[in-house]
Amino acid sequence: MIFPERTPLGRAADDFRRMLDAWPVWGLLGWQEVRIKYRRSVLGPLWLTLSMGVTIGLLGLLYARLLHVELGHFMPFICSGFLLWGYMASILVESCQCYILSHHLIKNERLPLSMFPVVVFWRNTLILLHHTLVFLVVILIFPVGYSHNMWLAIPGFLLMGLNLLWLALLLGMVSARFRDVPELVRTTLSLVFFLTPVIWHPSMLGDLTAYVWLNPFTWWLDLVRAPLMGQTPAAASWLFSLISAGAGWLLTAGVFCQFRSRIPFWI
Amino acid sequence: MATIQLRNVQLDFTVYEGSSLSLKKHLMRLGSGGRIARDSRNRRVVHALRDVDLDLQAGDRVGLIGPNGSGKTSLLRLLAGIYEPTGGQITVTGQTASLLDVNLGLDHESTGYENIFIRGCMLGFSRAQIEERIDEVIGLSGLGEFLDLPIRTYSVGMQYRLAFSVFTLVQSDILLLDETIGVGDEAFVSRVHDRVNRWLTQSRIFILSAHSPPLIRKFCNKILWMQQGRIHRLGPVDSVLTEYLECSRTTDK
Repeated sequence: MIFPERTPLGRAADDFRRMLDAWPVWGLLGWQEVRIKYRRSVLGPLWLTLSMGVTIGLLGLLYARLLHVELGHFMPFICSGFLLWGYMASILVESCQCYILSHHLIKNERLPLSMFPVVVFWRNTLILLHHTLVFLVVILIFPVGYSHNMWLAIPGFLLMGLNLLWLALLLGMVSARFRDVPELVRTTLSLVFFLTPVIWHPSMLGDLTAYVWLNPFTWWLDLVRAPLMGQTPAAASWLFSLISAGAGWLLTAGVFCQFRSRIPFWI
Repeated sequence: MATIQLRNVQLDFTVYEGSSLSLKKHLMRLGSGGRIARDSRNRRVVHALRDVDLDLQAGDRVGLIGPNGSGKTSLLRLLAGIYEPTGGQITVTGQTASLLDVNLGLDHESTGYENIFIRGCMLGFSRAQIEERIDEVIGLSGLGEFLDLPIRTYSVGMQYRLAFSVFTLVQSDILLLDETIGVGDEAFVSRVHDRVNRWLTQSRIFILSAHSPPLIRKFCNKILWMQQGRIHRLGPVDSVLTEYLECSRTTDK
């Protein structure tokens, strides 16, 4: 270890390299919480899945009636939307605490700092995999019909993940420095939920539909949900998501280079 | 090869309190063009280390002493690569391992046995590497069949035994310990001391932060005395320790 021969950029890049090398560590840390839920009860994290299933079922029945839409088409739509929204929102809410809650580990062990948002991301991805069971049950009852477009969900998911990861790292750092940010993120997200086409379809807005595209969550959601419904995502979703990933990572990398070494002192 | 070289090292950090922790207040201040910049009270700059010059070679076994808040832990964290200095140069050759807090990274819901793997993974060992030497770890811990219980059922002493035993997997050129090798019952302490002695033949630089003079006499051949973030003395154990004990006695009065 030599200091300060390397530039802040070099040291930030080194942090990322060590994070990739430490995949057994973040793999284990993310898995651990899920595993403990298994241990405490027979169903384990499937309890969460079960309650998610009940919520989605009731919500689907209610809104299909309220919005006068056909249930068979609406159920898979609201189910995938709700699961993906929950995934995005819990990653962002939990990432705010990723440094604050790990202060003990960070101050006493030399671990790559870019690893902590990755733990949050990985844990929630594992939980989402459990929740896909709900979606499978829904499309068994209300078949969507196979289409080659469905494979597009995979690159779509990766691009959504790329966006969530830079946001998670940025929010983790900002929250470590400014302690009112976690609360701000939580309240903002609960508002954004209603502004994002999760339980309603953009076309229902009539002449206001265009405004939906001002919301980044609309793009990221569309990347995965449209293929699951057998459609292709809007070109705008791909374009805007690529731009937001590029610009977001540029911003986050800048902040990370500049402030990475301050994180142990903030927490 | 193991060397540690510090040149004119500074470590300053800002402690944020009250309104300086709030993004909302921060933005409002920017919005008002800094006219209500009354936040100077809420942030304090701490000079944790100042003008530290240090050269350590293979064979140095350093006892780190000094009153609370004199910069001992900051210095260890700096050498462990956890903190980065705000000024000066650090050159460390050789692999460094540190045990600054023993209960680190134990998962209370998992069993003792599982925790050996969790902790070992964090220390950078693969499953196979841990399995190869697990008998040694289990033997040192002396926990026997307790290893099948979740460690939330352990006493603090037992958790400590487990954590320390896993750490003994580490073999490195430079070893940093923070007042951790004097805890536990007599039998365990003597096993720990045996293990530390074995480390001393393997590790080329050893730094132990401790308040206990017998511990330092036993393991160290040099003393580094910190005072208010600076190196006050660096020298042979006997003379520096005598001076230190005298000094702390007079300040007590």
